[in-house]
Amino acid sequence: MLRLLKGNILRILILFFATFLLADLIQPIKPVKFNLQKALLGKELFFDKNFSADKNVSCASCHSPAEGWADKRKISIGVFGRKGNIQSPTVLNAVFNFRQFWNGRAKDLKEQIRGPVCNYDEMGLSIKTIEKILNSSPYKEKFQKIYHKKYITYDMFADSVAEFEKALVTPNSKFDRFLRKEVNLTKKEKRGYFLFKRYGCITCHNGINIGGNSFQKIGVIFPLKKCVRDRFEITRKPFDKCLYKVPTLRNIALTAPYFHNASADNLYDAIQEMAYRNLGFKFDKEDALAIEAFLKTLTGKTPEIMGYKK
Amino acid sequence: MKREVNFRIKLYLIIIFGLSVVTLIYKFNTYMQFYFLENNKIQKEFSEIKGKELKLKYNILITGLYMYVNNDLVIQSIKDLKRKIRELLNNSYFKSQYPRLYKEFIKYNDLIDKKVNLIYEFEALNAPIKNSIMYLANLLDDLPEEIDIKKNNIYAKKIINVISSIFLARNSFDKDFIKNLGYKFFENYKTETFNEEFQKFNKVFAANLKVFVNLFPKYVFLLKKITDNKSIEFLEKIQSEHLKLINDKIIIMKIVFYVLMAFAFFSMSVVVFLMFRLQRDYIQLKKLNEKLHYSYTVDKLTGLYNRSKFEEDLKVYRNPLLFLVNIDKFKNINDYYGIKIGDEVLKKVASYLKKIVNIKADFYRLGADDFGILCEKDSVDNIQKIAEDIIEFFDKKEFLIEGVAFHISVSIGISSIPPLIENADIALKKVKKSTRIKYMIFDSKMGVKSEIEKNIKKANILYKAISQAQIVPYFQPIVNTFTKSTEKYEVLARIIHDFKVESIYPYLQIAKDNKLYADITELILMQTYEILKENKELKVNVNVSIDDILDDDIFSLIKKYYLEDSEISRRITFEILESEAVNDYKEIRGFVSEVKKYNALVAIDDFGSGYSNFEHLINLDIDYLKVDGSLIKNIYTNKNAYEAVKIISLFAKNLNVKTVAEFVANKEIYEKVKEIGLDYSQGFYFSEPKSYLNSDAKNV
Repeated sequence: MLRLLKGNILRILILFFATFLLADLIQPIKPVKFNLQKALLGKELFFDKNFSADKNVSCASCHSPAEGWADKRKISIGVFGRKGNIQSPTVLNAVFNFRQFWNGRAKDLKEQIRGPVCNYDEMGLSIKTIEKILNSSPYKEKFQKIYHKKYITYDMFADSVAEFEKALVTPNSKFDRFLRKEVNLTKKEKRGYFLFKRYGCITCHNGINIGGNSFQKIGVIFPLKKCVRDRFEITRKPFDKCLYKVPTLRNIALTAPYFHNASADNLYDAIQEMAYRNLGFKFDKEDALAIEAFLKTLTGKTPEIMGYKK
Repeated sequence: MKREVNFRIKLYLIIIFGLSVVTLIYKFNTYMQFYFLENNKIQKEFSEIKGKELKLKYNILITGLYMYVNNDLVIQSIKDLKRKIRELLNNSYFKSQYPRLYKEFIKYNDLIDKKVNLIYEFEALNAPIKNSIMYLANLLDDLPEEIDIKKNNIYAKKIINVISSIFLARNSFDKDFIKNLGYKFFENYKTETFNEEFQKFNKVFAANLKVFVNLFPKYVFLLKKITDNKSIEFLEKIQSEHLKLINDKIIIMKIVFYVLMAFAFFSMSVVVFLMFRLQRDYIQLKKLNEKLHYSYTVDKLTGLYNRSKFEEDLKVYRNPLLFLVNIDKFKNINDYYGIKIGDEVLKKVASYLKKIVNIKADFYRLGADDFGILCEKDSVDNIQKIAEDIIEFFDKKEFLIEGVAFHISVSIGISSIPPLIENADIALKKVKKSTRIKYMIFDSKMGVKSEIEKNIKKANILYKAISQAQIVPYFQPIVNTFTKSTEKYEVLARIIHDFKVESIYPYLQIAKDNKLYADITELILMQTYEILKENKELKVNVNVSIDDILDDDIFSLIKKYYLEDSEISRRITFEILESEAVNDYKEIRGFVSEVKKYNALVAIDDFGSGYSNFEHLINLDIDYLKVDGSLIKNIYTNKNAYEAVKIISLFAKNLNVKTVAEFVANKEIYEKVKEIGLDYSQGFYFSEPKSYLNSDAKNV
């Protein structure tokens, strides 16, 4: 009877898989429209340490191109050596995230920028100070050229940085090219993708950014004891405890350490941690390695904007 | 003037009214276009928002239904919906025109914001539930060997029960299926007796089951809440209310439109009415004008053109020729037969003239009995022939009017030299003076200046002379024929004009015509009086006409200055001109007897010239008889004249009246006068008339 049941359930499952296999659950990266002039100006600002209280921190300090535009430190260090409280996420493909920050408190990139810039621990500047710097530096002329305004405002500043971040997309990853049927995946990678779906990773990690389109709880089965900077801090709903924006899996191989609390140092550990917390068990080593192989195909090409000279 | 102002006011009012109607229609049209455009946009936005929300709902349901979905679809739907909502929120027309609906719409936006948060929450439930199902499903494929229905019947049955319940619940979204699921059974299941694999299985199974059981009711609740129709119904309510407001407004607009159309129709009717009236007035005016022009240009009696038309037509002619036809002695016809017959004659003459003149010409009645025939000179071959034909026709024609038969004749003056009428008239006057000639063509030798012009000039001179007292008395001595000594002087009026002294004689008729005669008499009498007052020995003869005698002012002047002062009256002789009129004789006799009372003397002037009446002479108590100059100047050449003077002299002697000879111009005349024995002589042989200062009279 149980054998019979097993067979039927398998049949039902095949039907379910058929439904998701047919749908475009993950889409390759498409070009994003942005203003090149503004983006190039934003690029300059992004790397400029003058926009910090001690003139020692730039955006790139915690979103370093060399570290997958994230921070390999467990906790980022801001101005005057002040410590942050959460692991810095990558800005790559951030434009595709439905909201910004781990707990989604900013609705878009422009709104997000204000966070670190004005955060006492991160860059520690007031809007007034930023405008003062902008209007008393060579930036003034550059802004005037693009925005055709005499006085340079913080809004223009945020706008140009956001424009630069829009340009930070990583197209043509191996997986994207596979989706476009340009290349084939290895057997292991293919199996990894299959397991990724079969174990339900794809329920949260889907869409163009393979994540970044919903809030989900870490530790559904085995909860974390304590979560900082979670969705609960915004909504104050008990259910929202340990709820975070699902991070993108694009370029995941580059952005160690993992999770908001940097609890995993490498990709393998991160995969097993996620399985344990949200599925209640750890994968077989073979399965975990396959999934790891799949995840590595998600590393895309360096953003084109980085090749532009001013 | 008042009518004109009224008309202007009316005109302006109509223009203003018309312009306002047009402006109103234009404004209304623009407003309507704008209104519909803006409100259509709002309606369209409502519909689009509704569509976006339905799309979102569809994607949520897909997320709930399908095991795996691309969550980007939901996020994109939310973004699309929010963008559409923002568009309408930014619609300033909507905000300003429908503040109440706008507030409602903000409420809708809040509903959507709440819904979006619920969706996030739902997504956070959806994933673990799906994963648990997935896990539980996968689990069956990998059951530990320990679980055997025969061996462990209750546990196995429970697992089957759990899995089927979960699938039923998941597919029906009905939480009743998991009411009695009891994950505690697994949690509390004694696993110590089983191997490690089973223990692990039970633990994970229980954990996943717990997740499902705990989350599923909320999951169902959220899904129902997210997919309910509350927000859409709310939106539809706003939309239909907006539509109702539009429809209400459309009814008002319809009314306004009809009113405006009525106004436009009304103003159009007014214009049509005014145009109609204007046209009617215009036609009436035109008719009146034609009538006026006709009466202005046509002589009513004869139907010929009149003088005005003649002047008008004259301008059109290149080389005009005028026949001026006058009916001879027409005045007599009027006098004898009456004006009525006279008019008939004029009519007949007019119609006959048109008949007998067979050239291209226009016919006019230019005066009472003056007819004009105007033609181009070049079109007439023989002017004389035409004139002769006319004359011959009327000479032969017998007129029969109201039973009276009579003949008329016409005279014709012809001219082609302007001024046509005046020159033809000069020619006509010449014809009239002649007894033989019946027509004459004017030529420039006939007189540069017409008599009329001369008369006008004379009248002007006379007026000027009277006003400036340039009419003065001249004195001619009257001498004793036998002793040759000057006894007295005759006062003769002289007119000074252009520093020349002229005889007053040529001006006398003009003076009479212009009622200036009395003025001349008065001037002479008063100046003479002044001289008489100065010179106490001077005796004078002054001329008095019958007009003077009949003029009360002159008569009282004579009486006052010449008669009532005996010192003057005894030195005065009044020379009275003989008159042919019977009535005048009576007046003269009255005057003579009156002056005689004051010892003034009386002389009859120009005796023997015209109607000299011996009988009258006998009945008047006169002192002198002045023999007419025309007899005296021929006395030595004409025997008859000599005899006539002789008889007058004898006759006067018998009546004891002294005689005076005038016009004694030379010695021969004087000898004869002396021979006949006329008592006194007067003439150039002795002295011409001189001013008082230059004459001997001053030395008397």
